[in-house]
Amino acid sequence: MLDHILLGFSAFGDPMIWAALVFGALMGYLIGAIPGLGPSLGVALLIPFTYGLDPVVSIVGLVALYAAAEYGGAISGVLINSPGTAAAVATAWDGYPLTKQGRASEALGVSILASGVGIFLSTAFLIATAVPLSEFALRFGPTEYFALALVGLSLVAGLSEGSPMKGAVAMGIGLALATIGLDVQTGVPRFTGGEPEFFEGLPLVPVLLGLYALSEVLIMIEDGPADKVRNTLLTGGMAAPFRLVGKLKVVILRSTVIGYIVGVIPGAGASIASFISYAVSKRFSKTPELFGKGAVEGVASSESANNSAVSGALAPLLALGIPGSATTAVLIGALNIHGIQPGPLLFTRNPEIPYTIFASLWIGVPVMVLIGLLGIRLWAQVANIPRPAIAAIVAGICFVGAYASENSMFPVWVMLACGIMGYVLRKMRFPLAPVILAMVLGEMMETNFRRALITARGDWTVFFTSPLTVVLLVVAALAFLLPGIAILRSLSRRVRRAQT
Amino acid sequence: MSAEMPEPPGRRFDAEIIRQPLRLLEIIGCVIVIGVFGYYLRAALSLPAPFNDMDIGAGGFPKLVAVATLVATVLVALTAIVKSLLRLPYTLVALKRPVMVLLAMVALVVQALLFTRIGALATTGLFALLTMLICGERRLPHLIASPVLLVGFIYLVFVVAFGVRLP
Repeated sequence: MLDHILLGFSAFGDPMIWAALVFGALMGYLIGAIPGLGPSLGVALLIPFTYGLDPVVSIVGLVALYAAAEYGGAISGVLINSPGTAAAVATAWDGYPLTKQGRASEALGVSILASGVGIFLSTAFLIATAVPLSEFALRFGPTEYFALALVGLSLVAGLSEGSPMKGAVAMGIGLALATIGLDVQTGVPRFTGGEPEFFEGLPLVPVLLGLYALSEVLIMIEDGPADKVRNTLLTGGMAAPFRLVGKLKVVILRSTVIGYIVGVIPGAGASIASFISYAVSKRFSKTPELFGKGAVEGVASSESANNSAVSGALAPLLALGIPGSATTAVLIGALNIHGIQPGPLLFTRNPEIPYTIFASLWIGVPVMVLIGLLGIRLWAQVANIPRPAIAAIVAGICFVGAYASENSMFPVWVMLACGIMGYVLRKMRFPLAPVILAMVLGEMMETNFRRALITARGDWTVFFTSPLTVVLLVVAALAFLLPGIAILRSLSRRVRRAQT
Repeated sequence: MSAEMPEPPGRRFDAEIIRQPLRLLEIIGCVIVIGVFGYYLRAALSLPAPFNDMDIGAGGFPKLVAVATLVATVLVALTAIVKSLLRLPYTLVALKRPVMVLLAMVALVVQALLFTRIGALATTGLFALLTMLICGERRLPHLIASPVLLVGFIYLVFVVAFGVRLP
């Protein structure tokens, strides 16, 4: 393994890798600091810029953007109480009160340093778990792969915002989109309407751009020009955060572990990680009464957790080929564009990819901390960029990016259709992550499902012969049933309350 | 009644907001999804039968997807109907500036139609300006600078750096 880790670090002899790391980090801060634009949208928007690049360079840039967007999300949350990402909401609970107390620099410094420590430590956890997991996954057969994909999807659908049934509908939409094109086993065209452009299936990049970016443009148009944001002047010393982080080492370490574990669970993601670790830190704090009123512990726990969740979400992606979050689903799309299939074989066929990602997460820490600390004043201004300008820029990049993906208008139309569909789904509170995940995993699910049936000569009990498959199927069923039962209980409580 | 979207502080958009109960939108959405997946199921049923008894054929997996999605959709719709019948407190969804959103959708379609006819950079600049106007921007320096910077950025990155041949 040490050879491979050194191989990952050796990639940094190429100046292009450094350029990708710095550019990705800058874009990540920019995207993260703008309220409403999250890492998924950022990664989707950056993909078109990687078409002509080497796969390793592209992936380093995209992963840097992903991590930096989680860093950057805290900035607008701390300064103007408007978190750039959902994962930074808990950070704003204490970060903004600190700003009001004239300790903005301290809050931002702690958030950036805690983020850096979180991602540095969690990368070690990632290496320690992803490699053995990929070796274990080499023993998987078609039934295990089918069940694993189903678990990933059902957890994402079951844990998504809104009801699990809405998540299931969104998952169905994604799976249906994945079946468009020639059937890989028989070559029969499916749902193509006889149009040859559909034979290869729906291109992933335009779907991502449409669902995440273009639908966001329509939301921005709906919101209209934002009221002028009044930025808070940075006050407080920058030396204090370094001392504070030393004092908060237990909080940061505990939150990093929580963030990593939650990040590994498909569907849970960085926001849940930050909420859980915030609650745990409050529970164990000697001054819980300060939480919500300006506790640096709250800022540190939320930030270290949401950043270590980034490494956590990369574990199932790299080791099993199963994206655990919307952003990692988008990353899978980026890998596919460069002809790379994540999963257990990635570690043997293209070890330079996962190990360069590991190395970039480590090397990226000082780079991102430096960019974050040096550019605090600049990032604070980013939230002031007028919304109409952001909408115009995002829409322009969507069009050109979709066109450039295949040098034809077909992806542009796909992007437009998905953009409008994404907007409608968002208005009806249907989650988008299961649509993307199902689309990414659809082919793998169907192929393994049919392969399992063929090897068992059409016997459906094949899915209950392997203990691991049974366990995974039970987990998948519970992912839908448990939230469903909770909703039914709450509904019956509300009925009783309404009757009395 | 609990309104999820608080009353916006702005003055000028009040007349341009349509508020509807979420459950009504859910029912409408579910009817559309049922229609789409009904069509999808019919198309899946008409796909060729499997070559042998061991396989489920090209239509087997889509049939499973269609049935599962229809069941989930019906459950979402039923939940919304039950909530309506029981007159439970409901969430309001605000559709703000619907005319502008529709206009933006039309503009996006027109942009796609003109993309290859008058050129990628020209349409990008023109429609960036239009998008900003639709979004409510009225400051002239912003309206001029943003599209120019966007077109310059796209030209530098896609055409000069990556050698993409844009129409």
